[in-house]
Amino acid sequence: MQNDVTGKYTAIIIDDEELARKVIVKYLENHPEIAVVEECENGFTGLKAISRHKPDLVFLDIQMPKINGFELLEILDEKPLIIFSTAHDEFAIKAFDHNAVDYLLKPYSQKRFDESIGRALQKLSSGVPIVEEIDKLKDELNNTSEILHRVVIKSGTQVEVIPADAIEYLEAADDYVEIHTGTDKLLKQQTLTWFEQRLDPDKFIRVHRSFIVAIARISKIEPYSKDSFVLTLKSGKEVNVSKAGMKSLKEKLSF
Amino acid sequence: MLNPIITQKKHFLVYIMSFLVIMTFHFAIMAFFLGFTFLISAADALIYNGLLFLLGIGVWYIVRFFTLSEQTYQMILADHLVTGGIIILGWLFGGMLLLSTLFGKEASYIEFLNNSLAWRFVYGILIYAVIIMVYYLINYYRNYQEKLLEESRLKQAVQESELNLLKSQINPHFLFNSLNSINSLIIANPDKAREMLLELSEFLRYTVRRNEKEQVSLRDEIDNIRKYLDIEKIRFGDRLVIEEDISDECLKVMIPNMILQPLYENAIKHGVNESTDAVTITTICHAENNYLNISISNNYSPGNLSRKGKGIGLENIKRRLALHYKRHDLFEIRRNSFNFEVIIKIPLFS
Repeated sequence: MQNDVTGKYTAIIIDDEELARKVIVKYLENHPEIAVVEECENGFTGLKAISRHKPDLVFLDIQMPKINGFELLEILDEKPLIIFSTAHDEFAIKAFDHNAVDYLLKPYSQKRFDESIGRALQKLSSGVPIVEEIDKLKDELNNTSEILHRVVIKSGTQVEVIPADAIEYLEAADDYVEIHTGTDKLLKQQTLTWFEQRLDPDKFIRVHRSFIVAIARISKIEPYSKDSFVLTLKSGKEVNVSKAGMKSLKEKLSF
Repeated sequence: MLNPIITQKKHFLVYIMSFLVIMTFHFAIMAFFLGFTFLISAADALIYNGLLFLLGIGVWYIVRFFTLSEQTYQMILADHLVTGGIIILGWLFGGMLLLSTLFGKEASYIEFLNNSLAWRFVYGILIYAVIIMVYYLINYYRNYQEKLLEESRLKQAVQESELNLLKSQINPHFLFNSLNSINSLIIANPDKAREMLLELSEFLRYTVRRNEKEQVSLRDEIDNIRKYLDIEKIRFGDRLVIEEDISDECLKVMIPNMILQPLYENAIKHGVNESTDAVTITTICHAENNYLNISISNNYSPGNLSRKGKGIGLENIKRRLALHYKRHDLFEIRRNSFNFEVIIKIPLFS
């Protein structure tokens, strides 16, 4: 959606390094049809700026304080076109090779930047909804299996970041997963299997169709019925353990 | 160290067998060539060699004592001549006392006993010398094995840290972000861009070269770290504050190379990269009580949700210090909810 007042496309730059933002501003001088409406220096302010301005285009760094570029995408409700600007080549290239969304590897040339903008403008003017693009991107993010060190959750306008170490157990609840920290209960729209695949397998274990527990928080395991067990966490919370769950507990804790 | 003969079954078996053979000869000579009764021959062989058997085990502690302190070969030899002489004399008369009380009525045997004292003394000294030599050989072999092991450990640790150097020190993230900053500065501030480029080049050159030496002066390390921090300072601007308090006399102290750099990388990675507030990295180096104390610390925001590293970098530094100085008390981490500090102590040689 082209900005009605000026007739320009709007863009936001999110990067924690000022010099990196300056490069983009400078390179954009070649593209008067794009107006930078805000520069942000971390994921939090970036998220706010996106919901405030609803820009057409976002230049996004990946490694940033508080929440990184991937985590920002994960909780983003708006659907701007994303161009990654990052030194993070290792999985960026792999993950987005087939995606229409572009990525620029720092340092990049004006020429490379112009190509990327050309592609973006084409998409923006073609009228094809960007929604699909960003959904595809989210899917691909979901398929990368980097170990999850923290979970980012958006509830209303609030963004919560929970370190993996703070998690006591997870419980499946319909389309959501309840994240229990001992003091808090938070909801994230995700499947338990998604968490199972990403949480550090040395620290977490799936003991039941509906439960993943932090190994360090386990207090005791007792038989419950013929084929099932009950596990007590240090907090006193009791969690069901299935036969398969018992098997993996035995393997992991070697008893 | 425990006695290598009695603590190892195989050694002990050989020791027993040797004495059994000696005793059999002793007995045979007395009984068949000198014509003593079986009882007397057996008692003589058993008592003298049995005592020697026990003494041989005890002598280990004398050997250990004379090797523990740093003495010259001549001194050790003199020590053994004196102690060996006393022990063998004791053995000689102890045996004689026992046997003459047992067989006091056998006049021909008592006469033989008195006449053979000189021979027995020589015999005792010989066996004593052989046992001592075996002990020293075992000791020597052990030390040699340990030295080999230690050397290979040291080598491995250096190799690992070199590998880390390749993996993390010229961290591609750091390199490409720095190049991106230079790219930006070329447009806005070409002089600053040139300055940063030169600093980056010098940093890389030092990093590539220092694999050559295991030890470097603190001055060289600190100079290089300053370059690294200058580069990061250009990248992060006000988000990074550098403070240092380094006394001049510390700078000539030699330290194992590559031991400090990872600490600064950690401070950047877990402090600056994960914080929106300013992070101060403080370096303090002072010499006191025969130690060079190096403290590297950084603050971080209390709510910092930084990924916890695996601590391999820190573990590696700790291990290298332990291997290099043969001590385990030279590395310390102090951390609370807003500050992370690593303290390294380098022993100064008097």
